[in-house]
Amino acid sequence: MIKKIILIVLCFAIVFKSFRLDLYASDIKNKATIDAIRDAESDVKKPLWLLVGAIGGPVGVAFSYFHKDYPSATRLIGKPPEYVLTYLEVYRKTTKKLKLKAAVAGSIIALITYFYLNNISALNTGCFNTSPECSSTCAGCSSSSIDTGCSSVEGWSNTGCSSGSSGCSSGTSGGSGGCASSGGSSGCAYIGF
Amino acid sequence: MKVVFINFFLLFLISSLYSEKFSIFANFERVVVRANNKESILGSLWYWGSDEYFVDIFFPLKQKIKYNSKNFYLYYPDNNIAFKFSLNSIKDLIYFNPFSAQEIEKLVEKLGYKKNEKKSQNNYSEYKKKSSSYILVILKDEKGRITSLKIKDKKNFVFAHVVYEEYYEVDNRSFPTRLSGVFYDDIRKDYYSEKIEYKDIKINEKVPDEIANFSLPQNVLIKEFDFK
Repeated sequence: MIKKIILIVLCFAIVFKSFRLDLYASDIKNKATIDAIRDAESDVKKPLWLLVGAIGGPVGVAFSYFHKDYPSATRLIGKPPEYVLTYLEVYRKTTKKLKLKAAVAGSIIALITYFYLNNISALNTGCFNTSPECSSTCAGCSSSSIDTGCSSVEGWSNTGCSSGSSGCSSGTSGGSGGCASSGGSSGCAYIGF
Repeated sequence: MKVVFINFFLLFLISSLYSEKFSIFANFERVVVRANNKESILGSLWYWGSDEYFVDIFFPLKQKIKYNSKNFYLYYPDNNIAFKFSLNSIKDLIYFNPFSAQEIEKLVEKLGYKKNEKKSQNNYSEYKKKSSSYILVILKDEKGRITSLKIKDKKNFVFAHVVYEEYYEVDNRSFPTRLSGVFYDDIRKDYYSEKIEYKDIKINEKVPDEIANFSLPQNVLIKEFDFK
């Protein structure tokens, strides 16, 4: 009977000890993870990587992926090996992820800005219209693209779209045959300025 | 930039400033406080020659740190494991070099910062760099010893403030034995304070052979860390 009790107590002691060791190890790893994420977020200069992505495009994104960041040595002093291993691994992954995200975001912003500015310049030409009606009837437009409608390089004043008329009849009103703005429902609606 | 001049990556530069043989031994205590969490580290430091360090940590665990011109090792004798880093992968070992304080101005200039003569006077100096938005402010005492270093932005927000105190004088050299600083991250959300104190200082003692020629035991598991 006594032997059994001793055996049970010993078993409990072993289980408890290994449980405590596990807890200790996971505590260290948790702390290392938290510290590494915090330090990585602080160390990565997001605006810089945003700019790299915006300027470099895919090259910038690739660069952000391959670029290495190193932690400060003082963060590892007095720390156990489990901490060092976890910290370095999490720091590496987190900095890489943050840089990549910022660079991709920069690229997307640059792309959107590029298309937006392109559209603005198309609007400035005065005959931007996605309406097939317009694109087909704007006789004065040199562009044949349906997407851009009448985004003619000739400028809007001589694109041949007259306002107020039904459709875009070339060479009618509007002075010298130009798009005299506020086309309304004419099909050659002037949506720019 | 949060990594400031008490723990800056100046080892390369320091080597050119102390070319003659000189050694220092000191015990130290380092305390880091972040969000009510206080960490203390006790250890001893050997610094000799121009670029060799040996740091022996004995609290909260046994850890030996060896630095030479090529590598940096973290060695755990109790675990029989070591981490090896190449020279350019570790930024700021200078933390343990108490001489860095006296050389900060030279080092700042080597890093590309230029003194703003208009704003500098007597013991107050301001340094700026074209490619950086930071302004460095160095204060000195009447003996010309650095007492404070601040790193701030153009809106006068101080990201780091390091105070140098309790100077130790030897052989026409002096170095602070107490360094303390407060460091903010770039987004000003988080900060921590750090203090290091050197005690039992010995100058020009012979560096023990086991430290000067320290090498890792043969059966040690060495993990080379590479950030690929």
